[in-house]
Amino acid sequence: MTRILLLAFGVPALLVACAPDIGGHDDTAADTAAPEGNVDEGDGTTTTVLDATDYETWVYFELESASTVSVGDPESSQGWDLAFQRYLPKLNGGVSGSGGVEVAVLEGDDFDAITTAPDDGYVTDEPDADEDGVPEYAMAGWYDYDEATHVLSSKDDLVYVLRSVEGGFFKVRIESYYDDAGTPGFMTFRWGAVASP
Amino acid sequence: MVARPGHRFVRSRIENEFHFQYGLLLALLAWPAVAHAGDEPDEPDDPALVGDEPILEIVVTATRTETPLGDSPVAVEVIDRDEIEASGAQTLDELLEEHPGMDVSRSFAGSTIRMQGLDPQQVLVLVDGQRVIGRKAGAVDLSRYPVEWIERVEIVKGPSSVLYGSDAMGGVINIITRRPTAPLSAELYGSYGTLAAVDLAAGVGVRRERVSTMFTGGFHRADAYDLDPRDVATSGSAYSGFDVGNRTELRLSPDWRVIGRGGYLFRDSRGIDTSDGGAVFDRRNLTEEGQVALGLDGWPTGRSRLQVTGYATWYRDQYDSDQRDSSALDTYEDTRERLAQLAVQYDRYLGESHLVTVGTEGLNEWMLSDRLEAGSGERWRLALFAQDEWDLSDAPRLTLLPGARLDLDTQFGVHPTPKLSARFDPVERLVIRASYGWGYRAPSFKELLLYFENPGAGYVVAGNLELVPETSRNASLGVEWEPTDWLWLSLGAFRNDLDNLITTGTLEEAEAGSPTRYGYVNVADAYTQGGEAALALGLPAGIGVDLGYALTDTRDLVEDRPLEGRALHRGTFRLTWRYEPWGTLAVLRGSLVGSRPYYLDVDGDGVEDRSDAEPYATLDARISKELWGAVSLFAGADNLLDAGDAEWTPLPPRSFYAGLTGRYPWEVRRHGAPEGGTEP
Repeated sequence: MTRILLLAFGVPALLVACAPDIGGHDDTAADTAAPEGNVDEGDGTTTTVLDATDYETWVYFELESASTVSVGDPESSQGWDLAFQRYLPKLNGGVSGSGGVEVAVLEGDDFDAITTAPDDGYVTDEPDADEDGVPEYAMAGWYDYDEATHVLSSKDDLVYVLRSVEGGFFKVRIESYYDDAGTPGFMTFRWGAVASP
Repeated sequence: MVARPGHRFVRSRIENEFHFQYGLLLALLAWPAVAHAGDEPDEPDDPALVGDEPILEIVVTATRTETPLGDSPVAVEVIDRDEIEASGAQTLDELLEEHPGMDVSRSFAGSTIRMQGLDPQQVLVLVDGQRVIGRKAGAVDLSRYPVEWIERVEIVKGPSSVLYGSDAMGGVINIITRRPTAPLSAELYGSYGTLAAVDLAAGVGVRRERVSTMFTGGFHRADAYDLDPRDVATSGSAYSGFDVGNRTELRLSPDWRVIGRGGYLFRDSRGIDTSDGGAVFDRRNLTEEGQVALGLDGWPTGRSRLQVTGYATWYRDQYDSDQRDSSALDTYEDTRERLAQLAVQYDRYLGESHLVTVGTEGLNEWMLSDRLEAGSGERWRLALFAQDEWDLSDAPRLTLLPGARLDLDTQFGVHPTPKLSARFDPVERLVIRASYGWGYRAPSFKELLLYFENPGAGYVVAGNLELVPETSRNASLGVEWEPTDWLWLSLGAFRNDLDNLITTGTLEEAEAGSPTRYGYVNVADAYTQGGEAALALGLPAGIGVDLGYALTDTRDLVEDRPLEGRALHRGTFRLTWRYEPWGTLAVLRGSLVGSRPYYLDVDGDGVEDRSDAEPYATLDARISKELWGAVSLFAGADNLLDAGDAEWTPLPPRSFYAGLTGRYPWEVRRHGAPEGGTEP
């Protein structure tokens, strides 16, 4: 009888120790491949993917050199044009920087058809006006937010024309907030130089 | 022997105990007044026995004491072993989904159940009277429990917090584990079906004078299924798992016994998920559950019974979600829970008409989870309960059952739950039951202690230590009428008023540098009300018909709309045909579920929009044939109408199966010997 009781309680107790831990599996090569970089679209425009997944640091980008740059003091640096942190975009101008970058927001314009920058309508980053703790970034309206799914989708009829720190003009359209693996925070945008107004 | 009906129900309960567990000796000693009633255990006019087959089904859940089903002052529904085997169900959820008034739905949390329109977290699931742990999003996944564990399922609808405490608001589902039915018994079960479903189960039982024990084990697997081929996500996970269980009873003396129970369940399930942002995840879930209980049960005197039970259970859920082509969104969560409980229950007959039950439970609950702010949570609870089953009159029978329970918890303090039930039999074969009682649910560790940050969407969900229990007040009325031996009718109505329901609300709007904080708050109020009707008909030529209908009207009083996911109308039916000369049993069962409201913000304006899930019908068929008494062959089909959709109703698709059962001793199975209790 003791044996039966031992079986009844001992067997399940032993089995509990048998289940393996399933966390901490190895990453595959595909898991660690960086989706960042530039792709030349062949029509004078480039598609750039920036890893803006970090919640604290901004990723700074310079249009003329088509590269991310590291910036010591973003407010005084003249080495960057625009930057992203998660879904937030900022310009090297207004409250965000001293580079004088400005943007014209064109709604409903065909990205491919834009070859010349507009004459006017340029704005830049302004101080926080709606008291949400975030400055009024000039490019903040780039996305639609789905309350139900928390998905950010870019407004594809929105084209930004930027005047860079160095005075060049560039058209920019934000394509996606997600990389091919579906990770949010990978800011994907297509851009190219346009003629001055 | 002539006994008044009021007497008979008390005594026949005792006699069953004695016949099947202790023999006659104690009956003769302890019940001299009725001793001759037990002189011949197989005496045909004994209400407990006809021939060698007991016709009285014993239930324990309603009052925490063994009571013949027909004598229970509180309505209990039973799914017995014969019905379980005839259904073809492999798990508890499959068994319940075509039972009247049971609302089983499938989601990421598994197969979960609503009763009387109340949420799965407001339904208490017990195994041999002991609460199970391991709730996902508040719900117990009923597909965890394989039928090879289950001798019978007892269902009590409406609140039972008066006896069982927290969570018993919408109802209680008590799984009674297998008991041996013969001196030596063995059974084997094997089936194969669609989705490469393999179900194997075995049981071995020994029933001797001093010891009875039953071992059960099983293995189950099936492939995943997908109801929406447009994406790679699966609608139902692939799974494989095994289970072992044992219940052993040792008779120390004619009036004392020790009962031990142990069980272990292991399940590995895998599926594919997609995020709305386009990410694809390979998901794996490893769950384990162990339960052990040890109890002492006996009769200090012939008119009093003492049960002391220690119980421990632990549960571990490992959840791993591996993003394809990236590791940025990989998540792994390891959740562990433990519960230990010591319960003492004392029943005593007072005078001619009172059966008084008093008891106490001490409970310790512990949880370890990455999602909890401090990493773990622990709490203690002490409960005292008492009830009096009071026979006011024998002809016509009138029984009152007042009871109350007081829970003292280290988190929410003192919480009382009273209940008054009454049974009145104005004439023979007509039973009227009414009750008014309270129910409650203690806030879960996650609701109290969660810390979950979603910076991508800019919010934080935090637990709230100020939460108090959710409460309900319930009124029920039911009528059962059995005008003839082949017809049984039942009608019932209920109303639940729910207060302090826990829901998420905004605690703090987003500010500079801090995201919006959501938290759990006791703000929601709701009601559920409705009725149930059931009919059982035994026709000639071995044909049986069962019909059930449930009306469930609910309203969220804060949002002023029906509660999500509840169907106003649900119907169930079962047709059985037993043809003895061929040893054939055919069962056709199904359900009809009306449309159900869901609320989602589909247009992104920040306001939830109502969508209604389509009504659906399920139909299962099964036929079995005994080959040589020992071996039966069976085949069946589930979800013949191929109901279900990926969005709201992820039912497994139409599937077919066939298999064999083998049994020793050879004769056709009879109802199991009535035993049990809230003991293990």
